[in-house]
Amino acid sequence: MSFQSKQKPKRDDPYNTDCEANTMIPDTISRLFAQTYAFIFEKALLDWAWDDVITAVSSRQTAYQDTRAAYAHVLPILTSLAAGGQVEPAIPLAAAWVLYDLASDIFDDLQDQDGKDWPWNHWQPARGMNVGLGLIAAAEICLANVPAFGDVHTDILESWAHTFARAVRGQVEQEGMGSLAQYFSQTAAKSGLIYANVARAGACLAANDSKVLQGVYDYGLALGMIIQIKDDYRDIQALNEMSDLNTGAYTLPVLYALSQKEHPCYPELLARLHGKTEFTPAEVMAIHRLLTEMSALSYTFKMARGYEQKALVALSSLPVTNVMHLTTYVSSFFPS
Amino acid sequence: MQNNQQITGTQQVSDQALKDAVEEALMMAKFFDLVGQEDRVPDLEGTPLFAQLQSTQKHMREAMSIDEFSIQTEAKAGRPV
Repeated sequence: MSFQSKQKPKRDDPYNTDCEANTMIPDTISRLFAQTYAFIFEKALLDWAWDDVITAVSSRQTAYQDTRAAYAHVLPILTSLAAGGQVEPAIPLAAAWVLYDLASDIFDDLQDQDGKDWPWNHWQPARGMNVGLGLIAAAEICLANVPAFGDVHTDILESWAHTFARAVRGQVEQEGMGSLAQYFSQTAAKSGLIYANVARAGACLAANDSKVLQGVYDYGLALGMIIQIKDDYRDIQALNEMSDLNTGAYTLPVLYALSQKEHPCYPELLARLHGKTEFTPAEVMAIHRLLTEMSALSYTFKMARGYEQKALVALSSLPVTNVMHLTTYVSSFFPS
Repeated sequence: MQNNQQITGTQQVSDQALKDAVEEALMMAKFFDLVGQEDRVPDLEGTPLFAQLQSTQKHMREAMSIDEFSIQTEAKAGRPV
């Protein structure tokens, strides 16, 4: 289970079509990002002296501080601002979100064993598991520091717990995913609804207007779908042995192509995929060529653009100045 | 801070929320011709989502060159391009 973009940013990746590492990060976002991590170190981790946990959090901070992912880390702060709130009350919420997400990434890597270059992937599994559990405990400390009244607090805790549990369940069910409906169900569970409820929690700190909360929730849902679809798109373009194909996961481009039974390339695609669970770089390249010829990549791109439009519409009832960073973030996936 | 939420988080993460998200995704997929005829998808036309997607489609047409868009349309139809 990985809530945010599962790939470590690669600044020199020639297939990095979405400009993740090249996105200019405004000072405000950098400052909020730094404040969030400062809170984690000072309020949640200071008394623990647990080097592995500190290493894991520090590696995350270093990897993402100048990338577009910084926006995702501070999402609850941005949605609190969108709803007319302040920065300070939302910082513990963003800190908890960062820690839950990091824990999910560690458990995801333990499951996938796909060798991404994070510190925990160089550890024994038991060490990684213990750090993951420690991070969840640290996230709970952060949540306990969210300055919200009782029922708002309960609402956030309940919604996050239900959503995260659903995402974990979706992760277990990932294997055998063979239809677009299954794909969308899993993508919504492990990304769309996560972002929806994380975004909504930030707004809850500032407002109780159902229209505002629904707008922010819808924005988060669309954002989560974009992030996962973009990940799929980028993974297919990566053309290497770490492709999703080698994890047994058929993502949107492949599922789309497999639905095009009348296309001249369909028989060859089916033959190349049938009964295989491991692919060489040359085979991945050949599948990529077929997906391109079958317009699978362009249709995947269109779906992501559709969600971009939905995200922007979801914010349309809120003051433009309040949602500036949220609109910039969602638009940054498709620079014109 | 408010102490009276009108929508509870539990409601938002209910099975219905997931069902709604999937249904909407399938409707969007249908709009972009992603879904084969064998998939059962609710009718999209006339809904607010339809208007949003039409707008998206329009933006994309404008962003792409006419030739590029035509090639993709032809490829979708299974014709040689």
